[in-house]
Amino acid sequence: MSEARVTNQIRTLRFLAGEMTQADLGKRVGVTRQTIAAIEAGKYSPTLECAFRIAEVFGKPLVEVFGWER
Amino acid sequence: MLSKERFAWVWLTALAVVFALYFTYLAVYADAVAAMHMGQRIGLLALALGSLGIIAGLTYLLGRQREEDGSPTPTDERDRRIESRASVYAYYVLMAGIIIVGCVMPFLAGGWTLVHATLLAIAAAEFVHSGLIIHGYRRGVRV
Repeated sequence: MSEARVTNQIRTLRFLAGEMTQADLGKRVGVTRQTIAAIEAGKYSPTLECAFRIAEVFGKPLVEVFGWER
Repeated sequence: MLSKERFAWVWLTALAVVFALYFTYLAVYADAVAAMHMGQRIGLLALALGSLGIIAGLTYLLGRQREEDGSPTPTDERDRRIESRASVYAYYVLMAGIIIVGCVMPFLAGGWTLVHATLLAIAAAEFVHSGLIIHGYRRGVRV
């Protein structure tokens, strides 16, 4: 099985949301700033629930925030 | 660095230093240790374990991370996943160690050798636990 990873557009979406901070997003999603940083850096794959919450904050469907790359 | 990662680093270092000192002392002064009363040997062990306890307690108290409003940093899903993965592997190591100590070693050794082997099994499990926590925060955890 080839190596696959979850990608995301969180950094771009934060920028488009008026430079929303990681701490701000974390607070709205219910995780720490460090976890948002880890998700952005691709070092942590969030749970489905967390992913939906993040997408909800930006008002986007899940597929526009997260991707699956092989 | 998160307080949980900092605690793992300190705990890993403390385990390595304290157990290295303890077992080096036992090896270098084997004759003197063999001549000790039971109480003295228990005291020596208690000194090693007590110092670990004090280090752990102080690190926990001094290293607690705080939010801007003064409340403790909450644990989230990433912390729980890192902790869960570390605990699973540490459990396997501990089980392997305890099986060796409890089912094999009694036929080969006894007394303090068993005590020290048990300590090493626990230390190995703690090593794996802390090591995986550090790895989880540094290198990340992916599905």
